[in-house]
Amino acid sequence: MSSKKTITMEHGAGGQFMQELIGGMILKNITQRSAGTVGLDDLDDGSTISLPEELEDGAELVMTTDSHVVDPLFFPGGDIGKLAVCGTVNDLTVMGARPLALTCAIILPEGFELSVFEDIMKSMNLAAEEAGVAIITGDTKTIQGNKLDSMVINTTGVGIAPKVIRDNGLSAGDTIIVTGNLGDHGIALLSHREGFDFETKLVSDVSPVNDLLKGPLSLRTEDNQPVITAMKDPTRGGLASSINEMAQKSGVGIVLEESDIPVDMAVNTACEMLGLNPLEIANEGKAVIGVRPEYAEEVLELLRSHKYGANARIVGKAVSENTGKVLLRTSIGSLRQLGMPVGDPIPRVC
Amino acid sequence: MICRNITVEGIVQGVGFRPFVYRIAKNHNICGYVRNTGGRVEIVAEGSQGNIKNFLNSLISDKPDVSQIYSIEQEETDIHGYTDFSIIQSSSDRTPNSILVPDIGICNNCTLELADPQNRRYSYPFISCTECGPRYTVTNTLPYDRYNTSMGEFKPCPICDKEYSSPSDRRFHAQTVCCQECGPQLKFTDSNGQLISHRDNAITDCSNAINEGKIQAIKGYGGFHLACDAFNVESVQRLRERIGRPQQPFAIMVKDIGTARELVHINDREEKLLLSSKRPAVILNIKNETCGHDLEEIAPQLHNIGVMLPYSGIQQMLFRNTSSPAYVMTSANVPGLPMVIDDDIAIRELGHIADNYLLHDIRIENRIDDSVIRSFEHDHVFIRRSRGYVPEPIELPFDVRPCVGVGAELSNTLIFASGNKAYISPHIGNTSHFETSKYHAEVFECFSKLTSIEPERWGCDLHPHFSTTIFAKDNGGDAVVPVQHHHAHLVSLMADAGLERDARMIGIALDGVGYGSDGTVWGGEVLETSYTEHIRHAHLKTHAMPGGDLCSYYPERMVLSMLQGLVDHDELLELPFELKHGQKEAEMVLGQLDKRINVIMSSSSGRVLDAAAALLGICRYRSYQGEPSMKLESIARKAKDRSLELPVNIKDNILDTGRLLLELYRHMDEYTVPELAYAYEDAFSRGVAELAIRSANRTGIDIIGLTGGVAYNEHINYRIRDVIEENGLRFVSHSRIPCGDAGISLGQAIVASLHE
Ligand SMILES: [Fe+3]
Ligand SMILES: [Mg+2]
Ligand SMILES: [Zn+2]
Ligand SMILES: [Zn+2]
Repeated sequence: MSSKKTITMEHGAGGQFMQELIGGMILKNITQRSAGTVGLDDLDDGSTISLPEELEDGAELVMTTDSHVVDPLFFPGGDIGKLAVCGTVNDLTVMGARPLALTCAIILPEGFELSVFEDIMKSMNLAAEEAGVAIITGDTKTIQGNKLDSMVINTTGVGIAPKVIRDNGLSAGDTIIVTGNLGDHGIALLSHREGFDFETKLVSDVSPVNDLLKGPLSLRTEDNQPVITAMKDPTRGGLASSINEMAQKSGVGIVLEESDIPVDMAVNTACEMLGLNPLEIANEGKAVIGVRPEYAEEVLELLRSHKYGANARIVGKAVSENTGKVLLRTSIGSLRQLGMPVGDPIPRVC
Repeated sequence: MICRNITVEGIVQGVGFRPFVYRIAKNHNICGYVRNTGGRVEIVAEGSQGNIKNFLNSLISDKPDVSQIYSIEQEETDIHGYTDFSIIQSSSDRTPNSILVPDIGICNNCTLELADPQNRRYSYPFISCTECGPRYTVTNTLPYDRYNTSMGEFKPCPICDKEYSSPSDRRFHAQTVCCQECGPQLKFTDSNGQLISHRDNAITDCSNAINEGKIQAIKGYGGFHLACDAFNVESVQRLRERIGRPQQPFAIMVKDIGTARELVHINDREEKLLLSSKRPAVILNIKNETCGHDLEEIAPQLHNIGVMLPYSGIQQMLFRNTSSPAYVMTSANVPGLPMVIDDDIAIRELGHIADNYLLHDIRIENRIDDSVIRSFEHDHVFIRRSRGYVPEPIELPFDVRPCVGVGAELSNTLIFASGNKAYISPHIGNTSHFETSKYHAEVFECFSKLTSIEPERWGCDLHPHFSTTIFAKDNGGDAVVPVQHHHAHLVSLMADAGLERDARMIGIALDGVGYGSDGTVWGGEVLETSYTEHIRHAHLKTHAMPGGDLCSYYPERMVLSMLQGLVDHDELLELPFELKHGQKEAEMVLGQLDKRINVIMSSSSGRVLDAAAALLGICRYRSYQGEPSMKLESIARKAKDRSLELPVNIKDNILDTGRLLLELYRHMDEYTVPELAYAYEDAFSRGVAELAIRSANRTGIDIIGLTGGVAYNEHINYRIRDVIEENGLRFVSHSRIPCGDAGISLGQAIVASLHE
């Protein structure tokens, strides 16, 4: 499995191959990998830069970067510009940070239409306005038309976190919450791209979640700890990928109630028709949150009062047994392991 | 006067072997002792040359029915001067080939005593003797002695104790001896576990409840059954609804062989199977005239049904006062999960299914399901090799080094092997369920303990995501050898057929799905096979599976895939699809195929048979494993005109199954559904046989073997065999090991053990 000699699409799919690529090619060859409590090795949504002690009491800067490619550039509910802003804003947010500023580096192929480019910039701006974040520096390169067939936008973001939230902070007993319906982005994109005509119009959920999570992030326990213990944004690989990573890094088991996981009917139908698992489909405006159980209801209420959190649900809990594994309690009452997504699933039903 | 140290290896524990030795020693004036050591029996015999000789002859020729002797070793030693012969306490030292005996169905003597009002065990359901009763299911560890079993919790009363220690008694050293006074007792409860009655009344109440149409959870020695009146259609339907098995056939237990004869055809071979002390469920052909009883609800759209006879005191007594001579008797479990064995869990998890519980206080040490054997016209094959057979070893044609095979995924078993013995586990189930994968690990521990085999090689499937593969890799380290699924099937067959270590066979493996050596999905393969290698010579045409596993549940997806490009798009969509999302989904599937979204290529034969079942409207949704092809087989048997011969297309060693389905489609207006089903199976079989014969001719190998789940189809199995034998080649198939994935573990273990 790990004997690939050239880059394949699977290397970018968020599964096992990508992990091998990161471990074997990137981490291995970079020597200075940390500037704060969270570094490159942690493979979290972002990393932190410690501030000089006299400036802030334990607060850290959080930095993250993401390159965005999407086919097609415009899709129901969004476009590459909005995606480029939200992706980075959301990565900062799930680190517990308030986004401050973004960079924007763009690579364009020769022949790209200027009017399209402008539409994308306008969309970027709208998203940045909504998120309340400035775009303060950037770069533009062009590449010969036959070497790149679409545009790439890289955004790097900086935010400040009074208390950094990690993806490894779950303890047994913590409640797991998702902030809304899963799979909207991936299925909307797929059906639009491939021309599948599903009954209902599917729309991507791409949106900044910083405002949605502002309330829950500000909650503190009596001894002044965040009530949120761990958080991730379930992008590539969907909930399956995020929650497995959280379980493995935190050293807990997780039991999810399948019937409690919110999935839009149309997305579910599309997945049923194509044989896809909605829990493995990408989201661009959601968060998976671990919460101290006694605050779960409060967090849920805060989320639900926000326009992006109306469908937030408690979906399960962290447990002390079966560490590193995510189990799904199915409708017939049996438990099924929800594994890391692995590219194209290999049939196994005899 | 001489003295001999004699060691007997075989099935010699828990079958009354030591009492037998005691008796013949006494008969031949032998002094000394007999005792169990681990899995063997050790005898020290002093006597005259002549007496020793007679003693040894009798040891071999008069041994108890259920015992088996693999070897007798003896050596001359110094005279100790014993004055009597005795049975002495088991030594606790262990030998690598510890052998534990399977559970044995109630014997004739115990049956008579149970029904005899004069006998002290009249109506005592836990009656047993040295020749019958639970063994494997109650044993915690070897050697097999009462204190190592869950019967150890019941202290024998003075009378039982006397029987136990009287050499002339037929319960002499019967580890499970007990009676009404000292042994386990029954209780009957409601669905919440609230006591209703106990002892004798419990059985009467339970059979009355069955008469009233209620569903009962009945605890046996190896697990729980769900039971109801087989002839009460409403009860059966209620059971189906509650357990969530809308179509899956249930096995039935009938009062006696006479009742069985009224319902199904039974030949001498089948009668022997039914009545054997192993008491498997045998799948037999239903009689057209079943004395007014309708078996359709029990085995919907099938021509055959699993039948078994009572094998315990409880079961015999349940049929005493009943108005029905046949009960549905199915393992109590959530589909795919291990059968329930714990009282509390049973009450918690079966509460919505069972109206009552019939419980007893014997702890189940080892879970075991009923064995299931599919009978064909001339022979039979295991579907599930469990109670009565497990943990009896399978003898291998050559020695292997200590190894384990962890199995595949569905209907899984695991196996420990060493030397020429292979110990296959009971049915484990579908290990994709987390609970079942945990049970798999428990069975691993249990068999590791019972066999004392420390594996030097671990065989597992090539499929990287099976929980069994992950289990092997987590625990076996460098000793793990992934084995291609169909190679494992075929090696299992070679060992089953007793082929020599250097044998080569042209193997036909027909099943649903197995991860191929080339990373694609296989399932209709002709492999040149040895115990260590496989070369793929031929296979079924590779078709796209739109949506992967979804195709297994909705075989109409395969119809779309196989006919796309052969039948005009609009014409294809005119077929009356019953997909979950209707006609809309059919269109979507065609789009999915065009755009190659979540589409996996496979040469599966299961899907090819499923597609025909779906196209002919026989089965459009699979609610249990094998449903479409089982129903296809049953309906094909009804074909009156068997003259339709669909052409077989082979090109470059690939059988074009797409064309075959197209031919079926083209003839749909001219023939009846049974005729079409028959013709399809026939052409499929001829095509597959032809692929194998070509390989045989090319390689000069003259043995062709058939395995895989599709081999359970009698028509296909026999048709392939006929064509091969008509061509002067030798045909081999399974007799001791299941053809399905339950037989995979054996092949894995052997291939792994031979790996450097
Ligand atoms: Fe198989
Ligand atoms: Mg992220
Ligand atoms: Zn008996
Ligand atoms: Zn007694």
